[in-house]
Amino acid sequence: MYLSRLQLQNWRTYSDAVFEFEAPSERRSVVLVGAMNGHGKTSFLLSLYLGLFGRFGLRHCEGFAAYDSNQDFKTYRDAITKFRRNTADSFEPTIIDITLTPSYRDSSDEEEVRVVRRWYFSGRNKPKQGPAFEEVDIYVGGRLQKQTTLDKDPILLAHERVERNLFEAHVAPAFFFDGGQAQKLIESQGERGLKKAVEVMFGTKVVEELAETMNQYLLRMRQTTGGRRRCSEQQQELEEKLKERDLLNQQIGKKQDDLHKLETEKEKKEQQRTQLQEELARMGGMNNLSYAQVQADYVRAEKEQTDAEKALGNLIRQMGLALAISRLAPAIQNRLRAEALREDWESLKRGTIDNREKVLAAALPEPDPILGEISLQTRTALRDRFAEALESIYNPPPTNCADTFLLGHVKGDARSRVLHLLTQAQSLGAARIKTATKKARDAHDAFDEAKRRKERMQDVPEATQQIRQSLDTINGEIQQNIHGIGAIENELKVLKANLHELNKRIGEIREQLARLGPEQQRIAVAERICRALEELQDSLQPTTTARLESYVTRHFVNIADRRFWSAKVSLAPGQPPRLCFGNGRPEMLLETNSGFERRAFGIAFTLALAEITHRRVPLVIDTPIGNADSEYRLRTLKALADFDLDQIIILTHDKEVTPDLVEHIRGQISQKFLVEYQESENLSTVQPNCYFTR
Amino acid sequence: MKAPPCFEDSESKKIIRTICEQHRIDIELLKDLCEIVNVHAGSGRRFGLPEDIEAVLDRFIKNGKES
Repeated sequence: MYLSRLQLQNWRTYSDAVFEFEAPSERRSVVLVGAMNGHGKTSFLLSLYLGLFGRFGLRHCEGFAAYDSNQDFKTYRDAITKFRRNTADSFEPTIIDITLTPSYRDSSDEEEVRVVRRWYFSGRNKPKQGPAFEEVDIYVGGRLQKQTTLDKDPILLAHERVERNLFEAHVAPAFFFDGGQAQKLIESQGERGLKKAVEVMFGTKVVEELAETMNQYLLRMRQTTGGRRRCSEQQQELEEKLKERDLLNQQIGKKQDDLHKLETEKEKKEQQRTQLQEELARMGGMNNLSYAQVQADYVRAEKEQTDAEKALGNLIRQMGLALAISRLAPAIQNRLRAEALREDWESLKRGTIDNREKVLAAALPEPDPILGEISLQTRTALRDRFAEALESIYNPPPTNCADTFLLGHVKGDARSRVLHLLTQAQSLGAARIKTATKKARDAHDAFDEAKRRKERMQDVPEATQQIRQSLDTINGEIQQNIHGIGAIENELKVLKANLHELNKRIGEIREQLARLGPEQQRIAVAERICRALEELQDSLQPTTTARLESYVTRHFVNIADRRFWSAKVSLAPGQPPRLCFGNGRPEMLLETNSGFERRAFGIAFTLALAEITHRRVPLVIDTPIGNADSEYRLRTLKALADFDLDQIIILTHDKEVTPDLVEHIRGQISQKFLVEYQESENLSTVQPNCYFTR
Repeated sequence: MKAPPCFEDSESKKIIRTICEQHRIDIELLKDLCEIVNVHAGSGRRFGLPEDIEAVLDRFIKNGKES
């Protein structure tokens, strides 16, 4: 925002003067207003205080610092009468017309603000009485704001609007001031003055005032509202429970973080373990078995193999005959059966032969009733024929009958037993042998595998041992993680149960409080606000001071001579401002420095305030460099010209910002004015685009 | 009137927000109250201040921000 227009009518030595200021550009922010002493520089500055803020700006004028704007109307009227152009006609009002316009850097919702303040006088230039004395018109965005409401003083209403649209009256000296004020800021008030400026500019003063206001409000409410004790007790319990809940939530949050951390760790370790196991498997053909386990497996497999072999040996010994003949069993069985058949056949045949004489005797009796008396020769021939016929009954031998007896020593029952044994050997014996053999073979295979593992284990390199050790370690850690997770989960269960109970109780108290009524609810909120504000005041101060120290140092070093280039400004609470140096150089109290250094510090402080508070309002400085030496002048002027503000209006006389000095900041000057005073007419006139000449 | 600069400055705003959270109040509530104090202090008048404060408190309570 920049000052775009200032019209002064019947104000000090100005009869009707207008300053029209051009919109600033990014590079050109400096406006020079040249005027010799007594020609109208201070009038310009005072017009801003009083034109914008009326009686609320009077305390910023020299000689009125103690003025009480709420009580003392007479002093204000007298002051305005004094500032009024003394040659003005009494019917002509004194008018200050100020327009502040948003710059290209302001937000789009900013609007132009114009304040027109008029003071009216009666005969012999006496101020008019009562509300007829003063009138204020405010235009926002070109629209005249309504002046009166039924319940508000129009001047107060106007003032409220000015402050709402611009800034508070009490911060005006931070933007509109003379160099002497900057110096006095240090000289007269020291640390207290600085603190006040920071508080006002940064808003901490408002916080302090709000704290005081809220405390008063609380006091009033407690006095007028019944049921305070009950409300306070419940509120207090609620506060305690809420704090307890916050703490509990923090604990739960922390435990959940811990749990998450442990779970993540466990997951990572399990991944590591898998990787190590895979690596070990690649190297040793095993998973995470320990050497001892492999050794035990080997011993067990060896024993199992021995046992199986022993069992097989015993069985073979037991089943030796059966085993021996088991392969020939079918042939032997067939042979024995054939020989048995032969034996039967031969037995029958032999029986027939043995009974031949009886059969012949029966077949050829003597005498033969059929054949009668036959000769011996015939009888013998008949007998032979008959005997031959008998023998032919058993010839040839039956099918499958053995030709001869190869196993002639096994006969009768012995043959039957052998056949039985052979059948057993074929069925039971073979199965048992088969099972025992399989068992022995499996045991042998298992032993071979165990042996191979053992051999691999014996051959594994040192790296494998390390992997095994790492695996053992990780397994241990995972176990610890699992224990830890379990413990935290249990703790969380307890904490959540407590939280549940707490929430239940908080709900009950809130229900009780809600039934208490709006007054108690307001008290409850106001109490919390008071506590927050109390804490806020303690917390904001150190942060603000540190930032301010940094900014003031930068601006001061920029202006001051080389003796101070390594200085750091200290604004420690309870102490006057001081300059600190490194390298063992002693600290310096600012008040012990020369006048201009103190003035430079004041300007640096103002610039720092503007910076820390982000105020984009015009800076109007009356005689900023005073009687400083040429080097100081140049540095101060450059510091002001380089400062990132929309507009910097410098009110100066011809020996201060001289034409030669102006050359150094020519590129940053947007406009120049020359105010000339004609003593004969007691009149100051404004010459745009003019300045002092060499 | 804009909020006090300390409510706009990033560093101090962080501090204010933290404290507000701790005390379960709204940063906007504080801003509104600051504005009321500013308006009344700037104009030098005290009448109507409790009513203005109550209006802000009631709005806060009504909006359910009271926790």
